[in-house]
Amino acid sequence: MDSKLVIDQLLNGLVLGCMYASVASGLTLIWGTMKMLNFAHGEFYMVGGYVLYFATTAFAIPPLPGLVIAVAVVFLLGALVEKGVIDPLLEKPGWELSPLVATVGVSIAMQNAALRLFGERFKNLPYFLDGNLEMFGIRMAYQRVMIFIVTAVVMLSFWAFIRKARFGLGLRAVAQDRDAAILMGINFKRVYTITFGLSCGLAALAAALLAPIFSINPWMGHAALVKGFIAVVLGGLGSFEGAILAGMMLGTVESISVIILSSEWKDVVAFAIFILVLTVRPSGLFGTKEW
Amino acid sequence: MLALRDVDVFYGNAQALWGVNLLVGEKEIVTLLGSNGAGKSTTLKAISGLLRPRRGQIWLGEVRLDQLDPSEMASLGIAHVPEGRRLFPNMTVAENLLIGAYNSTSWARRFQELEKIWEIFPILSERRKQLAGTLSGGEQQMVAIGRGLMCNPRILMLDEPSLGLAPKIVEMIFQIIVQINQKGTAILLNEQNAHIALQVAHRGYVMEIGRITMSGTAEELIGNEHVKKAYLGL
Repeated sequence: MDSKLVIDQLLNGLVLGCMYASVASGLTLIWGTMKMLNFAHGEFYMVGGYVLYFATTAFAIPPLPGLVIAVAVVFLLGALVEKGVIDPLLEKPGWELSPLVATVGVSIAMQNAALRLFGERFKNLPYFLDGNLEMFGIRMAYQRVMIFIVTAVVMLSFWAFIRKARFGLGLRAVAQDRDAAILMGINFKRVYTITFGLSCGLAALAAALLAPIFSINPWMGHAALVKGFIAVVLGGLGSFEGAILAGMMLGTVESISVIILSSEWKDVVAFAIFILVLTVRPSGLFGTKEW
Repeated sequence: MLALRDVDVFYGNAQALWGVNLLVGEKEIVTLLGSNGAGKSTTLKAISGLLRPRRGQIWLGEVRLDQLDPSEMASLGIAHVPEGRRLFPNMTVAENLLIGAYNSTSWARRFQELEKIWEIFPILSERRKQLAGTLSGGEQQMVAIGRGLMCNPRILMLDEPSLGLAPKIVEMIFQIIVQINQKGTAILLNEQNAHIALQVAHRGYVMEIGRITMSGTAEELIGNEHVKKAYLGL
């Protein structure tokens, strides 16, 4: 086996892993705090891609500010959807199921709205950065290097934000004991709205970073959602660190598998690992964790 | 200062409080006595907004509380230390305390308030980085009280602070409660242990199946035949 090919695929896998990690961290964030699954997560990811596309093409905004705009727009959209769709279901019977059904509805609506507004033609964006980084005989496009750095910086700052900032403390308090958190003067509904927005923003970040590698289309959220869920469950439902590690791992294993099997098999490999891990360790690789 | 007027509270269709009238004055320690299920915790929950009265009013000075969101109470100066302490188990002692100052008025003063807590409970200062879930029961109660004090409250409501604690620890906790009161904080105390509650309280109310059935100074209650028999076991 060609060692250069292995290294190339490993790097590809880590880039893909960055995408899985950001998508999964957002899903695990709302699972950890709100105890709900968001089936429209992939559609927020998709909107992130489109916002970047229109920002850079129609408004000629440079890619990096465009990225910030995409995250900000999707954060607001997410917060709005939470306020409009999820908030009314809070403290009503059937919370185990109701947000799930509601977000499936949101997902269908957003996908069809995108199809209607933006059309079915796939949109492509050029790399934000040209050229390649050459180090130790390995070539890597600057775009991919940037994906690593931006994802790492965002994940680390997000982690620090959850640990240290006032809002982060409030979020963890709500996650651990909502009624006690209310007594401490924390408005949990506001925490939920912002948390949901942040979760969607992380999805938009992933989509915007990878837009030049994949193309943008109304259905792009589907794969992101499925892989995101796999990473969340692999990492242990609700665990932030677990979702990131599992996301990176999933991306790497998928890419490496392409060397041995053909690329059509990579989803099979992902699901095989998923089933295997769940059989051996039902609570995920790192165990479910409270915030 | 704190006044409940004819408060009725329901859980669904079941009425839990019937026309409760209750007063806590500035710098007073007032105790609510009563057995399990008498409505003591329900009364505190109604004050802190976790339950909304169907009838009646709750006032703190000039502010009407019964229409407000529970998240506004801390900034108004009401601290509720819930039954069973309800700490955030996966946060450190220091983080638990900081959450007590979450409202924006207190947040600016959080480090000063934290210093005050270390003074009242030196043992917590040693354990500040420990996860709250790993503390002993007595230490957890200290964190719960400290967390309540972090918003610098006008009134501190304590729900069963002695629950599950060894007698020596209970004595210590009650000494601290008296100290807190002497520094000017009014205290509303729910307590099944009527002996110790009446030792520290200025006044008390007796609750029975959702109604206030008796009230008076601590001395009056200690001298009352019914209280003696039903709550003091004399």
